[in-house]
Formats: sequence, C-alpha cells, structure tokens
Amino acid sequence: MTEQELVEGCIREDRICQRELWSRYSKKIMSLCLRYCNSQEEAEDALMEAYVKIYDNLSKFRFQSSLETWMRRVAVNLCINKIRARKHIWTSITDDEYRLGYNDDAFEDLQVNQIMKMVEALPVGYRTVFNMYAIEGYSHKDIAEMLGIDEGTSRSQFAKARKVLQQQIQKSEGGSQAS
Amino acid sequence: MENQRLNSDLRDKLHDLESPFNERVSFEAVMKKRERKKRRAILWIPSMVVVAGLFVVGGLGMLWVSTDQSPEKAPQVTLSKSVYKPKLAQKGTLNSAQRLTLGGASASSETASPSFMMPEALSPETTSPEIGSAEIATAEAATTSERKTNSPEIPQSPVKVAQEETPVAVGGSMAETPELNETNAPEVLHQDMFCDPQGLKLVEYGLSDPNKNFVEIPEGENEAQWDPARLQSKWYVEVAATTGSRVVINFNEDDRLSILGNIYHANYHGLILKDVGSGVMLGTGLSYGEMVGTGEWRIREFQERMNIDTYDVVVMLPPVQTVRVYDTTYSQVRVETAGSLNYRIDKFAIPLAARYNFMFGKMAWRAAAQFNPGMTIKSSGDFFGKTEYAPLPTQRMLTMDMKLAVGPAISIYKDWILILEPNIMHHAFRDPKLGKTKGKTLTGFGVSMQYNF
Repeated sequence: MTEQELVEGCIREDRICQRELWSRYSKKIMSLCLRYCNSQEEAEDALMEAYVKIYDNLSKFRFQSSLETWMRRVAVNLCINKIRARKHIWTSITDDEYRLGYNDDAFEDLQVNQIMKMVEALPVGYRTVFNMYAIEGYSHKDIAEMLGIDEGTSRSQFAKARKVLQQQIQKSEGGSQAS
Repeated sequence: MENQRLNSDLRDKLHDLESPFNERVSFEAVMKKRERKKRRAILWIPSMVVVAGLFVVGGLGMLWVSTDQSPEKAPQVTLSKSVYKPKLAQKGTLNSAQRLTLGGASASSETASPSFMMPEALSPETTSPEIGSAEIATAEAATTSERKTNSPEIPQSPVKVAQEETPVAVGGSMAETPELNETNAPEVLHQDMFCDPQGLKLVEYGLSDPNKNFVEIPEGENEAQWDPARLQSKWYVEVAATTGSRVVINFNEDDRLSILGNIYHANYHGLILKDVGSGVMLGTGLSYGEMVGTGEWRIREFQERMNIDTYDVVVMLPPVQTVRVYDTTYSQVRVETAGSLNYRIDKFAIPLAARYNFMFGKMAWRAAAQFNPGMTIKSSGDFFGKTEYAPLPTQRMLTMDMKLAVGPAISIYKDWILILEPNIMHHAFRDPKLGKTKGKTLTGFGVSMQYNF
C-alpha cells in the first residue's frame, strides 16, 4: 500500500488503512516520544495523542514531504506542547561558555541505543533542545519559536546537553577501558 | 554550528529506531480515545452555541445601553439658534461627498461668527485642519445656493461678501473657479442636507453685523419631536394569569330543568409582543387554560296523582247497611329530582394578542384583546347551561377563547410592567357530535407581567 493510498484510506476512515498506519509507524513515533518525554508512560500517552491528531488531521497532509516526516513533526509538536505546559525553567549560559568546543566524534563510536539512553537521561531542557537540534534538525531560531524561549537559551541548552553527553561518553569509555 | 548536529547516518539510525510500548497502547486504544474526543466535541458544540447566544444577548444589551447613552439620543433642543443644522434623519445616509459638505457646513457655521468678515476667516489656515479649500468651496457653494433658494430676498450671501472683500484669501476654491458655486450648487442642493426650508425665518443680528443674515430654526418646528421611547426596544414578553368565574342560577319555576352551578376558569399565557407604534402591540405565544364547572341539576316534574278518599255511608233503608264509597280525585303534584354536575376542559392555544397602551389621567392603562384558537387537551363531565346539560365529547375539540381586558399598567422596575386587568373572557368549543358551538362567558381578574427586552 503506497503512502497516498494509506492517507486516502485513513481520510475515508478505512479501518484497514488506519491500522496499517499504526503498525507501520507507531514504534518509530514511540521512539521519538521517548526521547522527549520523561517516562515510558508519558511517551505512550504522547504516542496515542499523536496518533489521534494524525488521524484527525491527515486531510491536511499535502504530500509535500514524506508521510513519516509529517507524522514526526506532529509528534514533536505535541511533545513540545507537553513540555511547554510543564513550564520548565530554561537556564541560559554566556556566549563564552557556548564557544567551548566539544568532541563530536565520540558520538559516532556509540551505538544508537546507547545514545538513546544517554539522551533520555538528560534533563528535560537539554534533552528537548538536543533532540530538536541535533536529531530532528531544527534551527535554534525555530526551536526558540517553538519552545517560546530565546535563541540564546536554546543554544545554551544544546551546549550543556552536549557537555553532559560528553561527560557520560567519557565515563562509559573509561569504564570499558578499565574493564 | 551545523556541524554540531549528529551526522546524518546517526540521525537516520535514530529516526529508524523503533521502541516497543506497553500492551495498553494499541490501535484500538487510539481509536477509543479518538471517539471520546469526538464525543466531547459534540458536547462542546451546543455549549458553544449557548455561550455564543449569551454573548449575542449580552452584546445586544450593551448595544442598548450604549444607545441609551449615545449623543443621538440626547434631546436636540439646545442647538444654537443661528446655525445651519442637518436634518437628523439624513444623518445616517450621508455619503462621503455629503460628509465633505457637512464639514463645510460646520465651517460655514463658524463663518456665522462675527469674525466671518475678516479675510483670514476664510483662509484654509483658520479653518479646521480637516477642512480643505475645496471643502470650503463645496460647503460655501452649498451655503450660497441654500440661501439663494430658501431666502430669495437675501441680497448677497455671506460668501459673496467675503469673496468681494478677500478674493485672494479664498484662493483656488472660490476666486479661481467662480462657476463652481453655480454648477455645484444645484447638486449640493439636491443632496438636501440642510434643514427643511419650511418655516425658516430670517433674523437680523442687529447693527453690529448688518450685512449678515442668518436662518433661524425655530425649535421643535422643523425637527422630529424627541421621543425617548423610539429608541427603546419594541419587543416585549408577557406572562399572565387570568381567572374568571360565572355563577349559573336558574330559579325559574317554569323550567323543567334548572341548573345551579359555578364555572371557573384559569388561563395562563406567555406572549411575545411587538410594539407597532401608537401604543399598539401585537403578539403571539402559547396559552394553557382550564375551565371547571361544578353544580347540580334539578328537574321539576308535575305528576298526576290519584287520590282516593273513602268513606262509609250508612244506608238507613232496611236492611240498614254500610256502603263504602271510594272517591277518586286526580291532582298535579310537583316532583323534584336533583343530581350533581361537573366538568373540566383543559385546552391549549396559540393566542393572537393585541394590546393598546394609553394614558387616562395620570395613570397608564392598557387594553387587551386576545383570541386563543386552540384545542382541548382533556374534556370530561357534563357541560351545563342554565337549562340544559350534556356530556362533553372526550375527543379533541377545537376551541376559541376571546378575552377583553383593561386595567392599570404599573411600572414596578426598569423594563418591568405589572398590569392588573379585570377581564371578560368567552370560552367556546365546537362539539363535533352535535355540530354545535357551545361556550360560556366569564368575568374575572388577571395579572400580567410585561418585560421589555
């Protein structure tokens, strides 16, 4: 079943197409939600809410991107709304702090699951910005608009997230070398 | 900055990563959640309609309140006696050109001041910033033509006086295009923006400005009389309870059947009335009425009664014997039988109501006339008159009630009026079995509460 058939079927409220949409993308969206949410339960709730939104708004999908990209965007927006509702206090850092360099190559040596676990362990502010910037590919300007924060705050959160991740990688590398 | 992002391979891997979820999360659960959301939306729609309705009602209320306080409602009686005043009725229909002219009119009213004769009085700098030279020209053309038309005896309009004295000050508007007055004036005149020419009188302002003529608008003559009620709402709601009774007494000895009874009625209605002017209101609504009759019937019958008197007669002839004689006589005896009566008619109607409000002395009164065409909801018992009674059909019957009432209208609170009205009400119904219309007229008292909304 092509994406178009799938979308058209879902718009027609065809249960087979709706189930297919669920089985095709639900685990990927769950993975996305896990990266943004604090817990498995919260991520599961977000997944279900995201799917409700997706089913309700599929008629607005214009095929200008892939269906998965659109669904991811819906899910990201939903997760961000949840985060914003929590009124997380965003902390800012100075430009000097931001200019500190970090070693990016360490990420490439890690397994995806390890990165996921590390990302999930990040504080919510760091995690959100890291997810949006490093993984989803949003710009800091977009992130700032979406989260309702300053662009500098977004940058600082990202920098701190990277710093924390760097420390975790070093720890894990140190642990593996010691063993 | 972009190189701080994870490389695309890693990003793709993260995107493709699939995470398992609990059993409670399933396609069916999502669908149930969606259904619940839809149901909530369905409940929200009527709520939103109700809220929107409240907003509309509130908005209308605010509109009425603001209309009450708007300057248009203020009595138009304190205007200067020496201004050209546009007719109030035309105010709403002025187009942009007319507004220009209206602005000019205000300028021309300024020119009515003693400084009018000064050259700078007509210059654009001395007028209000909104009024340009063209506007002055238009306005003054209108003024000129108006005065020409309305007061042919005025030898020279103020504008012309000014024009002669200060041709430069008028500039491109008047001096350079003198024909403007002549060509535009009739058009402006047709706009009929100034006051009704009837009844305008010229007044002189004395020796200080002997050349100036003004038109005075006598107060109250050329403008609609201020009527505070005209901006009030024309709609009223009325709820009323009307009662009445009638006693049926028949002591006529000649009637075989006479009935003694009481008839009561209670009628309740809710109406929407519209004030159609001149104190008249028309409206309709819903009405429910009950009519109950209780009493007794008496039948007086004369029966022929045979009376047999007997007596014994002694026959003295031998043999002496006694003979019993039977003397039979017949007499008319009145026999009276009686029984109880009662009936009940419940009915529903859609009234057609007319009301007339008037003043009598210092009191407000209201006369009401109402037709209640409808049908019975329930009918039982024996319907009676003075000399007859008959069982009521149990099937639905068409009914027609007519009510006349008059009584004082007392304003008890803002927008609330209490009307106490003695009334006379005729209740009629069509008996389908007999093909006859029966009815009773009852008199009583009613109370109505009227709300101006």
